[in-house]
Amino acid sequence: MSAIVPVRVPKWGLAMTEGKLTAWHKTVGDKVAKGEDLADIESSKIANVLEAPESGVLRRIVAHVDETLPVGALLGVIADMSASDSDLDAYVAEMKDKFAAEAAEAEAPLPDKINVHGQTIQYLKLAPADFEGGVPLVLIHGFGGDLNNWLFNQAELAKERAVYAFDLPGHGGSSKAVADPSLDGLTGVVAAAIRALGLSPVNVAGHSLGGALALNLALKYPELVNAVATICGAGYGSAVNRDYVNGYLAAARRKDLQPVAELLFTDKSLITRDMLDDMIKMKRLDGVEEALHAIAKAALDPVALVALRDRLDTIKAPILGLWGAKDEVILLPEIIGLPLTAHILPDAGHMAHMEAAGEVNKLIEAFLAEKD
Amino acid sequence: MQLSREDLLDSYRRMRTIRAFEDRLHDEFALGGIPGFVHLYAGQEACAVGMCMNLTDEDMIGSTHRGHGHCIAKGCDVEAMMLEIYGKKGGLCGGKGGSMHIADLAKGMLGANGIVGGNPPLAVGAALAAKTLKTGKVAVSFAGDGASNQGTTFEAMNMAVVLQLPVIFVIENNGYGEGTGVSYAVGAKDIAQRAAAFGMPGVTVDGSDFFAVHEASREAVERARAGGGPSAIEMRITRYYGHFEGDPQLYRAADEVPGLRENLDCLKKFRQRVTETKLLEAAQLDAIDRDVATLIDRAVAKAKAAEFPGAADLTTDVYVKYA
Amino acid sequence: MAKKTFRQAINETLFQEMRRDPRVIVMGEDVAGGQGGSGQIDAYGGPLGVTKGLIGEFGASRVIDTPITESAIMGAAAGAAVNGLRPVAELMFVDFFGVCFDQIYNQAAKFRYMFGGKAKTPLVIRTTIGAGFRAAAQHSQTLYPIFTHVPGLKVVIPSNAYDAKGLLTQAIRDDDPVIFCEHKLLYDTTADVPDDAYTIPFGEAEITRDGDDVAIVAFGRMAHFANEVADKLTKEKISVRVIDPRTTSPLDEDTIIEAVEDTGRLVIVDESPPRCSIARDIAGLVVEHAFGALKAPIAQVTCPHTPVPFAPPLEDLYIPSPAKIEAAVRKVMAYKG
Repeated sequence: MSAIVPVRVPKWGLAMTEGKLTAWHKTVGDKVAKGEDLADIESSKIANVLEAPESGVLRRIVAHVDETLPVGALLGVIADMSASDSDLDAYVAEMKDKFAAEAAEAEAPLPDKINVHGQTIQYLKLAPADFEGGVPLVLIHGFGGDLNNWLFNQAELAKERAVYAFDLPGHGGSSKAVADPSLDGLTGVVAAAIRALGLSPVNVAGHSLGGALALNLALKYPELVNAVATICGAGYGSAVNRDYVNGYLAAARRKDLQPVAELLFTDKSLITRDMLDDMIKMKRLDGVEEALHAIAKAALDPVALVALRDRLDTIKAPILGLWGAKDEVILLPEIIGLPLTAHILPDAGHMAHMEAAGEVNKLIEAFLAEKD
Repeated sequence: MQLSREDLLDSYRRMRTIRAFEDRLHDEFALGGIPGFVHLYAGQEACAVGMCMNLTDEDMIGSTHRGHGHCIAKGCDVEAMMLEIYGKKGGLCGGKGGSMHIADLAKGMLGANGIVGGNPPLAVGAALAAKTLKTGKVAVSFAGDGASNQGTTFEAMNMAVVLQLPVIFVIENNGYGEGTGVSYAVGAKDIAQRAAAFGMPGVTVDGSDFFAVHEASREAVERARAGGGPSAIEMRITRYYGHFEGDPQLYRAADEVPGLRENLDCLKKFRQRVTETKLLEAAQLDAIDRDVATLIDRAVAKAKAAEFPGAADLTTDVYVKYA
Repeated sequence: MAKKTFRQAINETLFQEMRRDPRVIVMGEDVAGGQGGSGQIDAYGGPLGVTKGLIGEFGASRVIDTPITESAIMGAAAGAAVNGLRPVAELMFVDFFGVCFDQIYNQAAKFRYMFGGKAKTPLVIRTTIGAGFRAAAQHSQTLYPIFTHVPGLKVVIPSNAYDAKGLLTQAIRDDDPVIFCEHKLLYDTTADVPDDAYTIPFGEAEITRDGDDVAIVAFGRMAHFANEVADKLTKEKISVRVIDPRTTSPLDEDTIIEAVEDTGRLVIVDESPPRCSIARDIAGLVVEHAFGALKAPIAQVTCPHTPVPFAPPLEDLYIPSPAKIEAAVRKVMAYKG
């Protein structure tokens, strides 16, 4: 290829406005393959690896380590050797400020809300610009999370299809009063939201508790579901670490939450003060504490989760199960005999969709491409 | 409102209880058993009782440093009051308030108050709560001639009129603010008229005449309850004892108090009126006197025998929750 | 999450809490404005526009314009609080405490203790504090040390819109009397503020910057200056921890002492005269509990022991500045024993 491909500061999550370049994994002149680790970027909330957008040669490095740049800013340039130095210099000179200005002006997609079963459900829709039709993907976060948990996944997966990330009742921007905190109750709300938005049938991907809800959705509402993916999903029979659940429920301050959050990630350095702040701020909203306690008791009830496992073989939709090998919240279940495609991500913990975002995205994308 | 026989007996019992309570405190204080200092209400009994006979437990009163009479008139438990004045654990405030801060919110008694002019704004607040919550309650601020000169009283009166609140300002004019006479310290000699100048009805009554006090109070309370706004009543009265116990009262001529006890005794006047008109019999009143004497004896004995609060009580009850 | 100003955050909190609880009332001078005039009601909506619109939704029985009568406002609010309301009373400028303090510190603050634990006084006194408004000596003080001194009162000094909402919500739901100090120069500052109601507990400091070399404790507007200094010095590899205690009563002593144990160096910034200030109070606390951890004398950046001057250059000199804070940090960092 002879095209010049920019490497830009990504936008991870709604709140990200700038990113700090903390490392280059390549130097000028290195060959890079699409999807290969290229640089480390840190927002105030999270750090992650930036993957190469295309294969080629890293021809220019524009941003230096420790530099903080706005979302969309030019970090470097990938091209093959056919591009001339003068073309590259001209490109860099032109695009350096232009990208940042463009990104600053671009309208960030905002979450929307719908009313189902008397509860407000917040969701964020991302879709390709010229998108029409196709089976949409619904993302369901885990216990205590929100739609921002998909910050490394949603935009990537939305390159091929419409992707809706929901806030569960009691979480994020949804109603804090939870009418029915059981697995079936929460699943019913998700089903109602899918219907209300006119999405069915959908592909559904869930993380942790959201995984159990995705499975339960396929079980209870087979007409709504085309395919199911779970990431570190509950509902396969292994217990949820109560130290995590109870620690999360009890944490009142950032420092109480730190050790709890450490159970989520293999790489503890991924936990930032802003991430913890956001968790504490959510817990302090009126009604959240009651909602989380109710959900922990009803939906994360081991008996309910085992009952779900026992009925997995009646699910008609194909299932992709992804697990982090180092998950400290939901241990790897015994999956022999279960009707699913399983992948184990060797270096990921419970937040595998964040820690191994690139891999998770690829696996889900491939699975859905096959099942659509 | 016609006072029933029961009402009259109750009124007499309350007044007699106040007198006996205060006379006994006078004696006990001289013996040295009571910490701190106390301000006695003896002589003013008809003021508190004449007003409070028009109130229910739900209505609220604010009081003064000379507050024992208001407490008893409003129905506070006499033994628990005595314990409080002795600083004992079973006192109305657990021994942490004392004579100047006796309160019993369950009886609508919002506290004696160590600050002259301290309670009128608080009573306005109680009335504001009543009006906002539409409870039909009224609030009464008892204050003295001294408090009538305080800015807080003026502010409270003005705000009560502005917001048309169900509050009654009772000014018990007992002739002295501490050791200075009213004729010197109160610029306008008619305190009721001064209150009226804020824009509310203001009347003056003989504070030693239970029936006059009761009637003026009835009118004011009914007006307040019916949404007619605040009123003021100046009750002219005297105190038999000093500003505080131990006050040598050098500001009073030697014959002043004996003359007042003879000619301005609300209990005597009450007894005379109800017996002459055959409303009650002397024997009934004598029986009450005996009951009351027993009650006070028992209260003092209990108070003396009771425990002081423990060291652990020092730091409790500062906040509902200090976090 | 929407960006909201400090003023909007407080206004929104009052709306939400008044909707949530019919016992909550707002009272004060010109909290609506226009009563008795020939023009419109809600003419002011609070002298600085903080209570705007409340009277439209809740009416004059719950948004009470009072005469200019601070003793009656504070006393009536206290009296109403022990009788079932949850008043939010406005003391327009904290400097006016002098004409009504008895009702606050002798009455409201002491009911519970004097009455042996039988009274609850759920009262919030919202007041404006701070210099920089060119308002001179009687409209510019902070005075929170005086309230902090009084047992029975809680004292809150929010530094940003997010904290303002959470702390005011807590104050209104709290069963004790709370002095809520709003710095005039913070009203137009913005922060991400959730639409939903939330509370922030009292006595919990916020660590606004992490650092290991030196700790700065700063309140209200000063917290912003401290952050600014921390960000600047971080570039020079001086790692500064900034602590915004958010409430002076209760005070999060543990977080301050822990910071001294971790860093060994402490700078306290307090927009008030130095004597009997919160700065001195915290310095005393640290000397008592973490003396051994100190690597340098505690630096206190306060106002001078003067009234607040009027002339703008003098007022600017009066207020602790980022430059003075930075100098104090450099001084404690350079200390060699």
